[in-house]
Amino acid sequence: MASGRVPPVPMGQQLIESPKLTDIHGLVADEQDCERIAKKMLKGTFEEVNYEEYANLLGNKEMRGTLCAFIGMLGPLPESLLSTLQLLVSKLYFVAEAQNIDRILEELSQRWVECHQDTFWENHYKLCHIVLFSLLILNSDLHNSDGVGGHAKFSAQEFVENTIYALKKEAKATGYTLEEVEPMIAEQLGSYYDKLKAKGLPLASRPAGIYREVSRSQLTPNTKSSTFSRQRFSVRSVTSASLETTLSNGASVHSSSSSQRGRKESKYTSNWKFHHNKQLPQLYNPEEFDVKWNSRNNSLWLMDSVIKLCENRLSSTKDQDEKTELLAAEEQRRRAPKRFFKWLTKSKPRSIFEDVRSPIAFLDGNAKWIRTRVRVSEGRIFVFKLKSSNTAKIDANQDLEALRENCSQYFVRNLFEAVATLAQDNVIQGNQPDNVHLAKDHFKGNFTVVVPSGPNGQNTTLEFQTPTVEEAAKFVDSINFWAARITSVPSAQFEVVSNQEYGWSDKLISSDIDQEYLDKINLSIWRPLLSIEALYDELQTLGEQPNFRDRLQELTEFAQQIEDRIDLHNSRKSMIVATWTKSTQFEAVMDNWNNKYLYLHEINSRNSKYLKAMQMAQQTLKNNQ
Amino acid sequence: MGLFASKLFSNLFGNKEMRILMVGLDGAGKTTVLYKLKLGEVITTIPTIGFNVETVQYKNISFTVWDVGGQDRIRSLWRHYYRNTEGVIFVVDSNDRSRITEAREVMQRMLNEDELRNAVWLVFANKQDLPEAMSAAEITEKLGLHSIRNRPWFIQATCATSGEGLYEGLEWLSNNLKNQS
Repeated sequence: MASGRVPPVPMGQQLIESPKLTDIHGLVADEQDCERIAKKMLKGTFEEVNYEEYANLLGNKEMRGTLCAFIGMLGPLPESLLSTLQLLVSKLYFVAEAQNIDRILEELSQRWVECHQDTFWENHYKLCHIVLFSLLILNSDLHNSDGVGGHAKFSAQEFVENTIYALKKEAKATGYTLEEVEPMIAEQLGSYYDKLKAKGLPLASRPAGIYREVSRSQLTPNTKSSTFSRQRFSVRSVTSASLETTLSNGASVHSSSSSQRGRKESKYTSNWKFHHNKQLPQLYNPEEFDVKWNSRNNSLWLMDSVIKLCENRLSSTKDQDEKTELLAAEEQRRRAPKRFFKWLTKSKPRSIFEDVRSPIAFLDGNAKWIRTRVRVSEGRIFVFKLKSSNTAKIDANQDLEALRENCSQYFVRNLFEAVATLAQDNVIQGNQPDNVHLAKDHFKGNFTVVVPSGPNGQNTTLEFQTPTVEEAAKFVDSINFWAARITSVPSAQFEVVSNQEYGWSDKLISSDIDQEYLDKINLSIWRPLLSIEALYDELQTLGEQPNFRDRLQELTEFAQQIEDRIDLHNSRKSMIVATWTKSTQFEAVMDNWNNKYLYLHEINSRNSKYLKAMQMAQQTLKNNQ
Repeated sequence: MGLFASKLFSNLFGNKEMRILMVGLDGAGKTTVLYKLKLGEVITTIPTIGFNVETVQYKNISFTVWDVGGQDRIRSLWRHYYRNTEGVIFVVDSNDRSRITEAREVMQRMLNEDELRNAVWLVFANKQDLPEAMSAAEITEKLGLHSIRNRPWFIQATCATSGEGLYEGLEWLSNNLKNQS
């Protein structure tokens, strides 16, 4: 891998993409071209698409001519249908979409019937087609390494019966009867079964000596072919060529042992890349003003300062003395590198209602604070635990490399769906100067950052303390600003229709329903659906991010939508209560109602924070024009 | 606490497997869905000759998703697989109004398969990013989903290219698998 340049997708991560990825129209050709392309494919030298995509391309509707030519070039087809299939798959990398496989096998069966007129199949290529297809299914069934979970593999009898069922159905449709030849078919299928069971179909590989001709770019998906796919199949244009869409945006700590409890530390996470000096991908859609503002400290775009991080909730061993720990920092790093970052692996059930805990560390006399240098920049939060001896001055322009040098440990986290909250907004405290009983700490600024951590559950809450409330507010706005830029509006959550009953379907509420019926209704438990954002940590590709203006627009519109939804949900309450009040399922329905209400409320508060931060940014830009 | 309880439950009982068939007309976006789901994983497996089959680990459930397709005469071959299938993902191109009736027919035929009577039904109203895309509600109407009474169904607006909506769908499937057990 060339250093300094982030490869689009690492080797070994390539997937067999569908033929949609290729500009088929550009490849549709006249007869001569068909022959030429088919010949090249047979040799494995057709360079326009990946070798692994040949089958998908050949099976495409518009490639019929080439498919014909290709099948023709297989030479005389063997008399056995299984051998015919074996011949085909020895010449073609045969992993493709079902419909493409279907077309290729259909063509093959037509050709086979032409070659072998005098079998009991006569000229019924459609029946041969079914047999070929059935053999392929059998092969997948018997030899698929993924294992078809819990499913007993085909027995010979099942295979024969299943195939004959399909054959009979087809014969019936075409007014042909199989009765006479059925025993022969069964016998033939039985022998195919035994042969396939003994030896699965091998996956073809490019003929030897060809590989060197394959250019590097062809082996990585982010090439010509995927560009075609965007042109043809994605209406959203690629808004920025520099928008990196690799997976390295996750969070975790720099030592690989963090993967122990569910969190993967892989080379796709921000932290790994950062630790290994790989370029971090761009998480947002950069605009002109970003270039200017990204380097201005104390703005929405960049916050960089030495502030305190509460360690109490980060580690499970509270009783350890901070001093000892700091002295033993180096030692510990070797022994148990995760001490400081235990929270990353902490197992805690995910519940959106539980993890928004009230930030109270600063009211707690036993709170343990550690000095950290925190930088919020370009969609990420960097937290460096400072070496105890370090008293270096803050220089916001210091590069990350230098920061890393000056700390004992660090972590990098993307801000997808992160929400920062100013503690002073939630906690009422007497801040009059004459309130002498107040601890000094109360004048400091405090804020929390909640970052979701994937489908396996745990959210993480970080609590920070700043010298002043103003600074905390600035951090909060900056974090929310970046989160808003990179987090998509959760509208998919509401784009669903289902017949599941939570207790408030129109049918229930709008009509009189007797009690007995209500008690019997199969009530589902309402819960929010995780969105794909929860997997950003592990995803390789991110969707394209909208530009600043569009995101602001989205957030503004969503704010209205969510308010309407809350109103609607509220308005249903009285009717729900009236309908269910006497039912034994009343509690369950109210739980559903409450859960949804809390969820809507949470989404609403997140959205308004994002919106506020984006509006501030807009104002800043306006003022500085 | 529902989530916690179910999590605890699945932890107690270890990993589950759930076989899913993915069906839909040509070009509905099945493969894109499959690979977008697959992208949630870092592990790659050696492909097996033939069909696109992927196992996606989501929470404690491993979903084995089969791309099932082909012409009518081929469809009856898949019957054997229906028997052990817990769920069906039916992918619809929301933008293709001309073929929605065809999609409805294919879906209704599958709904009538005896072997699939216990399968939960997830519909992806795909290609929501296209300007003329029908909404999930409209697709519900056009596919006649409201007439399904004997099983849970769920339709989710998705954009497979960006991944929007896909995991919401899996989440629903996983919840419903638990409900059944």
